[in-house]
Amino acid sequence: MIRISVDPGFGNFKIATIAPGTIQVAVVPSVVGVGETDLGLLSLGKLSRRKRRREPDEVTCGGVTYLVGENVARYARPVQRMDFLRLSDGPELRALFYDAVFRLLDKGSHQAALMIGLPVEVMADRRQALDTLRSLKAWMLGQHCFTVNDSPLVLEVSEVRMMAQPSGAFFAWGLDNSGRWSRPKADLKAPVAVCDIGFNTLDLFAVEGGEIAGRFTGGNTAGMRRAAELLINAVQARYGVDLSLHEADALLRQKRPRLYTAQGEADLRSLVTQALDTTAAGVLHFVERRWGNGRQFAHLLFTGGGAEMLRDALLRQYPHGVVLPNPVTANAAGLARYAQRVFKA
Amino acid sequence: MARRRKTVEFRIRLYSGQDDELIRWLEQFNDKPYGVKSQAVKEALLRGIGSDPGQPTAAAIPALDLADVRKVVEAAVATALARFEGQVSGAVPATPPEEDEETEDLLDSLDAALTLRDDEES
Repeated sequence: MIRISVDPGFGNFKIATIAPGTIQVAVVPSVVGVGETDLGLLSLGKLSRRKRRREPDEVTCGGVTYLVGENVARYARPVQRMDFLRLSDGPELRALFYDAVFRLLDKGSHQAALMIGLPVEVMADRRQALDTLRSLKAWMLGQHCFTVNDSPLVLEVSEVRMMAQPSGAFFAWGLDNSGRWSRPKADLKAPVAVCDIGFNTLDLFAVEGGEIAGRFTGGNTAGMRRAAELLINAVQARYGVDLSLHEADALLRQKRPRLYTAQGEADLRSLVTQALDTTAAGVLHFVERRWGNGRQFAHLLFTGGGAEMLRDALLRQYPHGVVLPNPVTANAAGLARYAQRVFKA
Repeated sequence: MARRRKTVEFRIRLYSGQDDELIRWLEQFNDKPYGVKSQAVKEALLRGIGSDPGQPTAAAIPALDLADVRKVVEAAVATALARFEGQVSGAVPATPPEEDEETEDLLDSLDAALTLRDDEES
């Protein structure tokens, strides 16, 4: 039985497992569309000698084929659902999960137990959390037969558990790969805070002495999506070009963001800087309202893709904070370590 | 106009056959976002000189020869890997795992607080 952690972000879908001596992580951009990559005689590979971009994976389940992952927008209109119901069921969620499992485990038959991380805002609402757990278990438990790029997989899921996404960052920081506490015991008693800046969510989470510090824990939908929306509006106003949320997000991450428009190649650096600065101000405002200057915490950890993009602003405001290594996948890595602890082989 | 911050650049040559472990460790950051590799190296160095990354660093760095630098970086790499990813085999934990009763009680208490289980569904 393979213990798998699942971190279903709105920007990227991450899953991880512990293999001997290492953590294996698969990251799939959370983009799904219906279409196909076969363009017949217009096949892109025949028109150009340049190295081809990665094509989306073709995930087939229940007789329907979905395009998943990188560059979906080149072949189909991406689904852009941002509501929390998207995290419990739906064809996009299944397609993303199946593709991520394929990238992590490859084809064949596998048995797994799942530790799933969900946003604090979902977990904090007891009814919503239980509804989500029920809904996830209804379709996840049992046998799944699907193909990815014509490779067949059979996945048998025997157990599903849920916990808050940022707790994964805490465990990535404190547990080793066998699920044992690897830091000084004092760090488990001390107040530790995690700020998880995802694409759609901003989660604050604090623990002390084995308990959640409710006063310092909370979440809202103030993630990097706001920066993407600001960039979309600015690009539309200046160049008349419509970007999808994921295209805007990709531009925000680029060192030299450029876009081809009717006016020629546009350098978007100033627009990206403006969008990131405005978003950083909003994020810091939310964090400051909950945490003040954060000096009450012995350790302050930043994680999530937004932590990478807003690193300078975060550390300027909270100089004693630390951006975790590989912040995009830290939650998945930590949940995988925790899964080692709670799922018995 | 904003003044540019003073930056210090240094180069380290790594040799195949002699520094394979470090080369492999650095390669894992090649496909990561811009800045991740620099941050990982800085954190490894900070840990190597005994500064916790959660605390501001004020201590002056003593002069080191190259052999010392390599030793320090290797130790820091092992520590960092054990703490976060453990992506290179043979990584040694920074501190031996503490499996005493109090630690287990605290972790069990966290488990009860954090995990939504089947028995809560009714």
